[in-house]
Amino acid sequence: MKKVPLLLLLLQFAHIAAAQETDYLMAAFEGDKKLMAKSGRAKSVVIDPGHGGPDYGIIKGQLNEKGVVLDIAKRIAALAGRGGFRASATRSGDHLMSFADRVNLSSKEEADIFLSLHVGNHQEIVIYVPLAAGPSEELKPYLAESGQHDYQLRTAELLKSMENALGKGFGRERVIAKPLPYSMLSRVGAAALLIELPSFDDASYSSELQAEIADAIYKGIENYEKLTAEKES
Amino acid sequence: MKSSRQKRKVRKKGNPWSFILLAAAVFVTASLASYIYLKPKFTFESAFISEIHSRNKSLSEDEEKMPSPELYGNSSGASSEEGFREDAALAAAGSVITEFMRTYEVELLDLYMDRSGVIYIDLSAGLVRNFQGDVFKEFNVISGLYGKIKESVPGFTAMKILIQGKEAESLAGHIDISRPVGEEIESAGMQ
Repeated sequence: MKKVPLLLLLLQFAHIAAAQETDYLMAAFEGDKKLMAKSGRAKSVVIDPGHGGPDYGIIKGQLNEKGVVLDIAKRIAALAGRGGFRASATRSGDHLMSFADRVNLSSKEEADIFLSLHVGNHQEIVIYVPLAAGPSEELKPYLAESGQHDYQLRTAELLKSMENALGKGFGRERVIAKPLPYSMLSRVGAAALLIELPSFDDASYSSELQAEIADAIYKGIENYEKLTAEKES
Repeated sequence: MKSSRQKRKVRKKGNPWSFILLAAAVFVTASLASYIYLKPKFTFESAFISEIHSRNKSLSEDEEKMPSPELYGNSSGASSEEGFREDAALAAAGSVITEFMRTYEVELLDLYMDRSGVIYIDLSAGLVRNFQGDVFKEFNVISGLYGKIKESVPGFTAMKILIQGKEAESLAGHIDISRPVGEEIESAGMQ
């Protein structure tokens, strides 16, 4: 009779040990699991036109950043929708959205690709890559919430695809990539980039140019899709 | 003829409430009387309780006398030397921030440093209202401010920017300042 409680105790220990090992393995492959769950369905593309509402962004004469990026975002979303992607935008009208709302929308849409659009004060197209981690102790609690952590490799692949597509469209010397710490993008759980387009002094932002920009960015999305599809298959 | 059993039943039927009310009234009156009579006899001066009372009183008086923690930090709990060092560091930070933000016509409203070296900088709303810039310009304001404070304040680890006393997400819609900004801002290689 005394052997029964001992046996139960041993079984209990074995159960705890097995559960701990499973937890460890689950955590280790969490990033891949998320990506695997997403494969096999149409990729979700979320376009994020910056600013909006009372925040005009950069203004030059009749042009303002919030309007130009919204127009380009709509064009990209339309192209992506026609190309078989599930496309959406963080805002479809002239209203301001908080960073938190933009990030939440990307989670809700289960974004695979998140592209934030802005206009800069430079001649080039600058592609900003979010930095998901840093060394300082004070920031670790905040970075633990970072959604980018599991997607840095995907973001690097999206950068490569986007650099190629925009380089082909506008010249390689006009496309620059830079790291960006303290960006909303570090909270996004998807391949994410911030694309800052040339200034209003350096580009006319005519309807044709906006269509060209949207087309080049969409080609970048297609390139990325091909690259990841090859890896997944 | 009623049996003796029936007679007992009749006697029991008398109203019991009058008895209960009378007993309650006697009890309450007795309690009140004994409280009033006995209270002065059992009152005593406890040295321990008096000490606690006097300490609490002096603490609350000290809190009233203490300067606002929002202005150049709160040195309570630290030795006078430590407090002096903290105040001096914050005064230095205050002057570099004021100088740096003058370019942007922004006023420094308040400054506070916590024990882990995070400096809370409260700036006037003009910075958000008038700031028109791209990622690089916004980044430069924040990293420049960080660099200036780091040069002048020993023990400084990170900064948290507030606008008009409230948390802000961003200055111009690009850089996330909803959390404290640390040394990554300098090592990002944005130049």
